[in-house]
Amino acid sequence: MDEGTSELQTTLGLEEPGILRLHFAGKSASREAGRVLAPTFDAALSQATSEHRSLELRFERLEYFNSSTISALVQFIRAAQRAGVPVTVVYDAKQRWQAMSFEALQRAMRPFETSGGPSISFIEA
Amino acid sequence: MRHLFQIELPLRQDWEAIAPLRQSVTACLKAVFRDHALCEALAMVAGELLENAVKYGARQPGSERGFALTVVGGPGGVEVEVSNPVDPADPGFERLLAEIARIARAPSPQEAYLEAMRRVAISGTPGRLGLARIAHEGGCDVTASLGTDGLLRVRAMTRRLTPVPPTAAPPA
Repeated sequence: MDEGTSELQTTLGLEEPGILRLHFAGKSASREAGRVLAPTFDAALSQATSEHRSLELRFERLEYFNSSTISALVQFIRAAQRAGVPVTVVYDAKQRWQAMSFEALQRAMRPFETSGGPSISFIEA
Repeated sequence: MRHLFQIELPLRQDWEAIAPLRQSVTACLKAVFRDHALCEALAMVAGELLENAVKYGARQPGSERGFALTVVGGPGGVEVEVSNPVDPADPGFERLLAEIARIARAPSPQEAYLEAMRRVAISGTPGRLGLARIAHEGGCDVTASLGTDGLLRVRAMTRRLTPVPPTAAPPA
């Protein structure tokens, strides 16, 4: 984590039927991460909803994120849940910081899962 | 306290100054500790404290007085301190003290952090997760004090760090 100065990059992928993948790479340390990420999140959620796809958020190549980014991510997962879109979060548990961050996020989101509602799952890459 | 190492860096009240400082902390700590995950966790701690200082520090046109980062390693652990001028009447100052008190009252740092994230999920508004993240992911106790010099000093001290000797210098 945190070597060099690579900016955050996000890319959308449609490699697999029924899944819209959103890849994160580099570092996300914006002062207003919610505002910066909003166009990407809005586009992803809109496409996933209209094409009846689930969302897969892939963070293995993310090098660092600040708490402003975590806040934006929490809100995005909730928005997807309200829109009825299942979300899978994929992270690299071999990187201790990713394990700490995403295990905490998983625990935080657990109370928001409802039976019959869209699933929120966390997978180690 | 005998210091194993000390890093002191001035901070511009400028968001662009944060990443280089965070990366400097990572590089310095990796020269001291073999546990790179620990170094990255402490750099995250520094980053979150620096972000708070830049966001909420009192603006002083033409002066950066009081904005600083200090990282001190001693036999008991590592302390990261960020100072900034503050207006005690600023509601942000009271919110910071209240958040530190909330974290201290929580059953555990993890519970404090999970509660903060759930507040964000429920309210739909960006929350101040940084201090609770420092407590949980950074493994640090967070305290703050306002000096007679008008500077707010927020400190994060490692809780469970086993003292690790500095890396031995290679033979000459």
